[in-house]
Amino acid sequence: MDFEAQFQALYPSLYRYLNRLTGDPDVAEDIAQEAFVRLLRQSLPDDEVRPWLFTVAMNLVRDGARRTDRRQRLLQTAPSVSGHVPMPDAEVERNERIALVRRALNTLSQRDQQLLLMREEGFKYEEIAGVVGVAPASVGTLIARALRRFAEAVDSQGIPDEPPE
Amino acid sequence: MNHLSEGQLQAYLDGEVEGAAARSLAAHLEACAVCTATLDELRAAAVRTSHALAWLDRPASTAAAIQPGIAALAAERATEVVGANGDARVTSIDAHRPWRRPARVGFLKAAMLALLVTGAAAAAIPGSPVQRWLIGAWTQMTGPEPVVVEEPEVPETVEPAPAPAELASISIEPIDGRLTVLLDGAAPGQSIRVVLVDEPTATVETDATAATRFSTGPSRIQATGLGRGSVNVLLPRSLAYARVVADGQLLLEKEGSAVHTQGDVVEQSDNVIVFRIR
Repeated sequence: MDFEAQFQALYPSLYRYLNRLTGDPDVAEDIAQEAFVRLLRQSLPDDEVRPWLFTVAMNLVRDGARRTDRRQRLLQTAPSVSGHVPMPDAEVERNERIALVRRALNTLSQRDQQLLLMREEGFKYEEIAGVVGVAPASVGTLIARALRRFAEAVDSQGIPDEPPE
Repeated sequence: MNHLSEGQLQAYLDGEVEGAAARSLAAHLEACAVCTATLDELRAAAVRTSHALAWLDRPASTAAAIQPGIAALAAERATEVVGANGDARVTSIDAHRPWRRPARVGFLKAAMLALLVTGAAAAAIPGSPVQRWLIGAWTQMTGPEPVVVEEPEVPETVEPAPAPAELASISIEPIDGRLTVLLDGAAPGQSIRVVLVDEPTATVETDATAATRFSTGPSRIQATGLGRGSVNVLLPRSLAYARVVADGQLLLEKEGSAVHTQGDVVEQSDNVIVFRIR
């Protein structure tokens, strides 16, 4: 297993998935990094790495595990984003949009959120079934229903159908 | 006429159906307006979902992403020499090696350089969160101040001009010799050019608009929001299996050296096939 190649290929996807799932960029970073640290102790075929990482990450999300020392260091060293400077209107609008999307996503069960988010990351149905814990033959139906529910929830929040710039 | 289930249609839309089963589904869709309408609804829900979820994305911060020095630790891969007196010992980075946090600044920059030089596929996308994060993080590492981008003012009474199209592309090396290319949002009359290439990397390139998005998996490239721009799909000739699907319609299927086309072919040579979207 080429760890560096796996890290460069998979870290952005794992972080994005975790950030979308948890709504907390700090937690997403902590868990993504912890999953890769644990990967260092493994010897897996290349095609098993990604589902393994996402499974470990989901276990960490469920357990609420995090590296407090790393987070404390992050808090000490990261530039503070304070309220001293008034937030531009575009930023306010973006935050409101994020909150609405988050609210729409939270109308789904965690299982359905996982299904949608893993689909967004390009996983095959068999991989999704393994990580989420459902029968592979049911993934298509579950995803179709979850997509419809989420799209309805997004519509009901009045969120315009446009991606961010 | 028996209709297809939503699960079947969703699987077809997501590139999970191959070979004869895919051709059978495509043939059914040609003849069934009800199933075609359901497929369109599922596709619309998928695009809506992708657009909405993209709003949740935030770049990882520099310190948190690099702090463990994971990339640097992996890039190191060197044996450490630690001597008999306790400060030198021959070892290697292996499963049981205790993880050590390396000297921070040097490895942070080395890790950032490794990430920037080799570059995750997603970072190639103009305006992608990963690209912005990498550029911003590198700037923070090497420059005195972070880059602040000011958005231009747009007069309220004037519709902003549409963003000029720029060529955007994404490439992957399919891991298991198989590839599915999903193209969504192509406009009727648009041309899609499929080229067989003698290289291991598969590429989708298009005249991107603000709505264009790419996503990848180990054996999949998906491009949504294509608009009216040109689309080129470069398929490695060495792939054991590949297919190109545009808005749920199978255009091309490659099995070994055999290439089967199903879409409207307007031009074809040994290496290039040009389709026109209905």
